[in-house]
Amino acid sequence: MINIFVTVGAQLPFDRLIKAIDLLCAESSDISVFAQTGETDYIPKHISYKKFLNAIEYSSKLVSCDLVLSHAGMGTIIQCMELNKRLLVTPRMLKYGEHRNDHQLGTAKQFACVSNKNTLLQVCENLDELDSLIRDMMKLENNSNFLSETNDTASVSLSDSVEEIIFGAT
Amino acid sequence: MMSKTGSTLVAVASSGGHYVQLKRIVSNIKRLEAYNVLYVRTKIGGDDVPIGNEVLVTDFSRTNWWKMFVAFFEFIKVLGKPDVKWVVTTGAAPGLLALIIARCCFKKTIWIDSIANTSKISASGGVAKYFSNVTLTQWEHLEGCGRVEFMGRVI
Repeated sequence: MINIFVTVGAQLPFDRLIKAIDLLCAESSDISVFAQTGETDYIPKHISYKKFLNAIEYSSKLVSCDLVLSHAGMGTIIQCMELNKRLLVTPRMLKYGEHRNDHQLGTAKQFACVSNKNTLLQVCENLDELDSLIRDMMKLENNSNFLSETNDTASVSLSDSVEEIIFGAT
Repeated sequence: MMSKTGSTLVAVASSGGHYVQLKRIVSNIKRLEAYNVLYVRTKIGGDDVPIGNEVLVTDFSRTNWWKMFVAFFEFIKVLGKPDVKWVVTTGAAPGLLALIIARCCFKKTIWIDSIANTSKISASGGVAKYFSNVTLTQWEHLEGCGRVEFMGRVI
């Protein structure tokens, strides 16, 4: 059984993604899904779901699942990176009214550059490929690289920069 | 080991991605023990409760802007205290409100624009740069629009 946690973030619903995974579950008996759906009128029929999760519920779902399916939100990306968890992101698109602008396409593009078929983070631009992408990602080892290149020095230096601003350059 | 200064650093963000970035940045600041740190985030859903050193405020965005007036008084209560010295925020709209209130209360501020803004600085960040002591982008190619600087990325 493949346990999938779907999350669309704290702000807006993302029915295109929820419908796609709901339909996939109707056809696949080996996929079990829990979804955080946001404030939406769409009622999924084949998956468990809740509109919002508190921090404890959220992290327990994140830790226990095999794969996270989400919008291209930075919170989910960072948390999955910290847990080295399989993450499939689908960018929200302005043309479907899924966000106020197309910045998630930009995020997806940036991460598409540092991912490939062997990395735990992958980008799903076409929801018709959801099933095959999920199955390919499940073949990856749990300890595979999250990204093909990581920039740890950039991450450290932002906190260091903020520290220098606060304490005065030393 | 640095001794406590008795000052407070307040870190503010909307719940979700902005807050995840904020926690990652602030918790990696090495000499932070010199400050009392208070995290402020927006409340999501009905059963959201604060954990640890968190304070929750009312959420708002462009679509429900009137809730800003509720958040305004909630921020004043936290940010107006005399021991608050620094306010750091990653956005979004509630972070901007907090930053403006903080500047009116003579606090020092840092705006860190979300890493999700890859092609231009956020609308809130574009306003924040006129108020904030320091405004940072997480993308090198966005540096220099006004007073915006690049000093690293959260990942």
